[in-house]
Amino acid sequence: MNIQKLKEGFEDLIKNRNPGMLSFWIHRVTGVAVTVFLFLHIFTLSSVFRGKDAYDYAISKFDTTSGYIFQYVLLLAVAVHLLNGIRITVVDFWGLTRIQKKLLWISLLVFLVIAAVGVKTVLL
Amino acid sequence: MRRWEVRKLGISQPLSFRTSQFLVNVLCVLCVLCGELIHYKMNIEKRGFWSWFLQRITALLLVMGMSVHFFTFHFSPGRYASRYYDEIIHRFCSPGWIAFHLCLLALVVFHGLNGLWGILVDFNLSKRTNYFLRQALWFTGFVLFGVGIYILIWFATRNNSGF
Repeated sequence: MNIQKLKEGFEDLIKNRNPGMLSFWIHRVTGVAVTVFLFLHIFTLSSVFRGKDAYDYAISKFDTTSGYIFQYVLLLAVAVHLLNGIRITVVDFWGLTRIQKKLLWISLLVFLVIAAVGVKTVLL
Repeated sequence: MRRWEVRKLGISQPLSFRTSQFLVNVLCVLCVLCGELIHYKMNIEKRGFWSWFLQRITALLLVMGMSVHFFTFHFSPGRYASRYYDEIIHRFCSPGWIAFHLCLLALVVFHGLNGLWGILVDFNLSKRTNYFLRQALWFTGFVLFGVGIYILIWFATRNNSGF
């Protein structure tokens, strides 16, 4: 029954061509991804219990090319989730359901700015 | 470490520990009062309100907290971008940063796991499965928070010369 619900969910995503549906799915996927990263983050930091060298070695894994790409993807995921979350909170608390699409476009614009700045600070 | 010693090292100290604690207490009381007021005004069903409300409150606080965390630890050029052992030790001499990270850890763990709970609720699972998953999420939250606090205390209690 739950797999059926997942299938129906994916069908909704494909058939319901609505920016709101896409933003809902992206919000969920990025939320789960960042929560999984939280586990990885705490696991990485816990290497400090094995000593300074072990901790510096674990952190140095993020100072490689793939590490920088990973951090950039993390920045994008957090930015998307944050901006969409602000939009949802604003709509929930102030009842601005009529201008949801406008808010979505504004958050997309801010996301593009963050992505552009992130290229300079993270990747380059 | 005395405050003048912290200033001498050139480390920024956003707030003292007492001020941070006081602000956190005030914030918690305000959240509870706001929640009760919204609950009363909206006259809504009792179940699920606090999960919904606290998810939004933690989200708003995390917007500020994560911006600071990302800027100082991950994505800023200069000396504050370093995440290696010695620099972290220097930074965690300051009680303000320790208090900040304690609060951030609690907010992130709650927001993340409450979000997972919200996804699971959408699947309309049986009462027993719901109960089991809810307990599992609470347990995971406490374990994550406990490990995080232990790591913070570990960094905070190391001296500048390392191990």
